Order: sequence, then structure tokens, then C-alpha cells
Amino acid sequence: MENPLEHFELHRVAELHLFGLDLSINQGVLTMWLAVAAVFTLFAVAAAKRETIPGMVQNLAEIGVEFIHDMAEDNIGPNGHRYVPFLITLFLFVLFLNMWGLLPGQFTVTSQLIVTAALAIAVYAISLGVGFYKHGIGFLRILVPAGTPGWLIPLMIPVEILSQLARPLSLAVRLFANMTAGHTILAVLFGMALSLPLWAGWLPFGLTVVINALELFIAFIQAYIFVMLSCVYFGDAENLAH
Amino acid sequence: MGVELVVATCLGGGLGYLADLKLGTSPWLALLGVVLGIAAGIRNTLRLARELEEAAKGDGKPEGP
Repeated sequence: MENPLEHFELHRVAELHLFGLDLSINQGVLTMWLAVAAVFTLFAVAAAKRETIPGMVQNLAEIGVEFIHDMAEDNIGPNGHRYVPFLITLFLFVLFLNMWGLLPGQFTVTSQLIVTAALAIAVYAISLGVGFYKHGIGFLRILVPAGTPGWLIPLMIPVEILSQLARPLSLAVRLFANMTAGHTILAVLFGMALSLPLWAGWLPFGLTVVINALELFIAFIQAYIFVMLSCVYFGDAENLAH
Repeated sequence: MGVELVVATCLGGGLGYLADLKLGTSPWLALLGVVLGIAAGIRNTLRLARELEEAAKGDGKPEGP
């Protein structure tokens, strides 16, 4: 049977060494460029005409923007609309990469922990920046939840520091783990379908169809959850009431 | 949302373990870190569940794994 983890390996397609750094291009980088190009094209086409009665592409883009806009207003509050450009970029980028990985023979960039970690750290750094910009040093009050009895404060501060540090990590690990697990299951089932004789092989092959549909759903839900949690973190930094 | 629990526990234990290596107090800081990590994980999970529930109440959208 084939190694079900083989398709997570990175292969170089071009060597590139700059300033002593190894900046070689691999298929993950290529897929990310493709994602950027696809999202950019979608909005370039959608915004080209700006009709009152939107056409198909414009409609699609408007649905996406409104979806993220409502989420931001609900979770961040009155300032939520300021985050919409960043959030929609993040959502479409992650969604495209998740979906692209389901195409046969294509690489899933979001199954690389370094990519999801970079996105999660960016989100968390922005929430820290917003918090300190809006509340100054008083933002450190986020480490003491409202209503904590005085004698608990020495215990709550280390717990809260840990829970804050765990946020970007769990954001990164959730997306990475969901994508890696789903694609590993698919690879194992396909491997079984190929290596078993025909009278038994139809069962794992049928399961791949079901799992593929489930993975489509998960690809969407994980992009949604990633952006949703980013909203929650931005909301905490904006409002500082918890 | 079980990821929250796992990540926070591992983070607490890992930081405690590293501190142990530096200070030579093994295994006490690692144990303390695991306990604090579990507390932080439970706190994050509860907070997240509450916030997602509020958001779901707002627009009636279903929540995933």
C-alpha cells in the first residue's frame, strides 16, 4: 500500500537563494500564489462593472462580503466594519486553499502547520496591537477577568497568560489538524481501494465519496471558524469587558 | 473544540518543562505548568463555547466541529 502521508511532502520546483536564505519555491508556494491570484481575479471581475442589479460574479462577491460583514458586526461591535477587508481576505484565502486541496493530485497548503501558524500569529499580533493602541497599558486588565475575587488574582494571572498564549496556537493547530486528518483518511481509503481485490475494494472506494463530501463541508466550516475566532479575538481587544 | 484543551495543557507543560531544564527543579515546574495549562484550557473552552453560542443565537447559523 502507498504511504498515505506522502502527499503532504513538499517538493521543490525552483531553487532560489537570496542573501544566504533558502527561498526555494515549492508546490505549496505555487498553490498560495494561485490562491492570491484567484481571489484577486474574483474581486477584480466583480468590481469591474458595479451594476445596481449584480451579475453572477458580482453577486457571489457581495454575498461573501456581506457574510463576513455581519459576522464582524456581531462579534466585534460597532467598529467591526474596519476589520472586514482583512477578514474577507483571510476567509477567502483559507477557503480557497482548503477547497483546492480536495482536487485530486493537488497540494493542501493548510495542512502545513507553518502556514496556519503564520496566519494565526498575524491575527493574534493584530489583536494585541489593537488592544494596546486602544487601551494603552490598561489592556493588561485582560489578564484579570471581571469579577475575580482579590485572593484569586495571583492564581488567575498565570492561568490567563497561558490561555492567551494558547489562543494563536489552538487557532493554528485546529485548521492544520482538521485538514491533515481529513486528507490522511482519504489517502488511506484510496490506498485500500486500490490494494484490495475488486469484491472488497468497492467498500473503501464508496467511503471516499462520502468522506469527500464531508471534507467539502469541513473545508468551509474550518475557514468559517478560523475567521469567526479571529473576530472573537478582535472583539476582546476592542471591548475589554470580559 | 477539544483542541483548546490539548493545546493549553501541552503549552503549560512544555513551558514548565523548559523552565525545569533551565533551573534544575525537575519535575515541579512541569507539573505546575500542566495544572495551570488544564485550568487555562478549560477557561478558553468555556469562554469560546459561550461566545459561539451568543453568535449562533444572533443569526441562527449552525456550528461545526
